[in-house]
Parts: sequence; structure tokens; C-alpha cells
Amino acid sequence: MGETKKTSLKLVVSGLLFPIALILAIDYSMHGFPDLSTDNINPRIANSTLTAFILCSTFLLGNMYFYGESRNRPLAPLFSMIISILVGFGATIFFIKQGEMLLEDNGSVIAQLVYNISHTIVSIFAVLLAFGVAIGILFSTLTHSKSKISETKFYEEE
Amino acid sequence: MILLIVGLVLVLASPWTVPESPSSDLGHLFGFIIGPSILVLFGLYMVAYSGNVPVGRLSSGDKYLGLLFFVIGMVWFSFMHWSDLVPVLDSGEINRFWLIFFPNFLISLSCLCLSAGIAMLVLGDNRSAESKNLFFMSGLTLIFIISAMNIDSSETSSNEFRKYVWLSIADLVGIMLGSVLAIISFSLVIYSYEKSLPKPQSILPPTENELQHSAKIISSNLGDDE
Repeated sequence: MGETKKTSLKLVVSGLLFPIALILAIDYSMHGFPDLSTDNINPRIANSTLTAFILCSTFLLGNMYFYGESRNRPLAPLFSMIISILVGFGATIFFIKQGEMLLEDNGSVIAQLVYNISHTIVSIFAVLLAFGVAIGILFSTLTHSKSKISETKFYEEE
Repeated sequence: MILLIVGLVLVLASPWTVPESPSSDLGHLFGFIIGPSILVLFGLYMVAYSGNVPVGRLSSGDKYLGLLFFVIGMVWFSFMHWSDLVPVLDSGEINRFWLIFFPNFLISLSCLCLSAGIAMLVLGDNRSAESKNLFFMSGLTLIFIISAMNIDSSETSSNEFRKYVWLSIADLVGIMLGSVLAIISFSLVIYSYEKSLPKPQSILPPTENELQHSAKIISSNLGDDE
């Protein structure tokens, strides 16, 4: 039973990654690698990783206050903050060591920071809108599908 | 909620209030996409709630109106890519955030629809007919992306769009990595706290009297007059 559930979950996750792999494979086989160097792609990955980490950590930190309160662990948010700062610091050092990659076309760190936040907000909004559409189609289909309880069976039981 | 609405209005007004700031491009983009986004989501809400729902059911006519809204919203989005409806700034350049938003939206939509369709098939009970709509949407979005990567639109060349699709995939990979990293770091703290908690004390099994009392309460709640 557990094995079947694991296989199903793997299928669902592979469904998430399959279109990306397909797009890249089709495009690469038709036109080759686009006019982009790793100097363009790596900063995008590094900046979006760090910005998503910061935004996600801020959200989770808020939840840690409730966790600390419910479990009577008042220091939980403080420890989480220290751990997330250390992980963020480590990740930043790792990305900086790969080369001068955190500044894209922006002139200063502050300009890059503001751009990163705007950029991530746009990306997250796009993902959330897509999520809303996918869930909307799923529910619309379910609410308009035939009921799984057959009426004849219902009357038989009565 | 009021703060959220006021904030959204201020962001939308930023192209007029702070036109010299590059960040006002974000408000410019939201101004362009808010119309089709609301149409698509409201349309799907109308379709979903005109079906078999126990509460808040809409009339069957709303199903067709919702479907119309949804189609208009999606066509509006596609026209924003293929025709002159694309968000162009006063400088004459295409809003750079649009070139981030649109490929991200299309790729995420294709991935999420395919994944939801597979989930319906493998986790649901006899849902193959229902999953077809999701597979159709995923396929349609994929065809759109591949077409846009090969055919020039009025404002964007296919080569440029290809570049932005690759960069969007880099963005999505980064967002996933960052989110997983944050979740792992916070999970570590929770795991260490939970591990240090003392085991809950076991209580004695119920006595015969307690069992009889429980059975009495259950039968009085479940049984009928007979």
C-alpha cells in the first residue's frame, strides 16, 4: 500500500517537471542553446534562490511565534532566526564564491535588492495565478462530473 | 484587508506617482494584467459554483457566462503576447516584468495542470474523464510556449522569447531551491524541539464500567426509537 502511494507521488512530482524538460529538449534540439551564457543564467538562479529564501524565511518566522507559544518554547523564533541567518549567510558566500554573480545589470547592491524583490513578487504572482487557474479547472471539472453515487444503488439500499 | 487594497491601489498608481522610479514598472505590469486575471479567476469561480455544490450554488446559466469570462481572459492574455496589447512603457520598451511574468505563468500553468491531471488519475477513483480537461489545458499551454518560441509576435521576437523562457526556468529553479532551503532550516529547529519533548505518559486502559458507560452514550446517539 505504502509502495503504491510512493509511486503515485513520484508520478505527480514528475508531472510537475515533465513540461519543463520537454520545453528545454524541444528547444535545444531545434535551435540549440539560446543566446545566453552561464553569466546570465547563474545570477538569475542565485538571486531568486536568495530572495525566495528570505521571503519564505520571513513567512515561516511568523509561524514560529505561534509554534513557540503553543509548545511553550519562547526561544523557538530566536533559534530559527539564528539558523536562517546562518544558512542565508552560507548560501550567499557560496554564490559569491562562484564569481561576481549577484549583481545583474544593476549598478548598486540596493538597486539589485529592490529589483530582486520586484522580480520575485512577479514570479510568485505568476505561479499563484497559474495555481489558481489549475485549481479552478480541477474544481470546475469535479463539480460538473457525474455523481459517483448511483441513484439506482441508492434506491436499492432504501 | 483595507491595507492590502490601499497598498495595491498605490502600487497600481506608481507609474503616475513615481514615474522616474524603475520599480514603477511593477505597477505598470499589474495594471495591465489585473483585467484578464480577474476575468479568468472569476470565470472559473462561476463555472465551479454552478455545478454540484452543497452551498452557494449559482444558476446553470452562470456556467456559460463563467466559461465565456474564462475564455475571454485567456484570449486577452494571448493577445497581449501576439498583438499590440503588450505592456509597453512610455520609453517605447516592453515592460521587462512582463517578459518575466508571462513565461513564468505559462510554464507554471502547464506543469500544474499536468500534475493535477496525473494526481486525479492515480489518486482519484475512476476520474479519467475529468482529468482530460487538465491534460488539454496543459497541452494547449505547451503548444503556446513552443509556438511563441518559434514564431515572432508583433513586439517580441521568438529568439528573445526563447531567452526569457530559459531565464524563467532558472527563476523557478531558484524559487524552489530557496523555498526548500528555508523549509529545511525551520524544520530542523522544530525537529530538534519535538525530539527534546518528554514522551507523553501512558494512561491505564478503560475499566469495564467506563466501557459500559461509553457504549450506553454511543448507542443513545446512534440508535433509533426501535
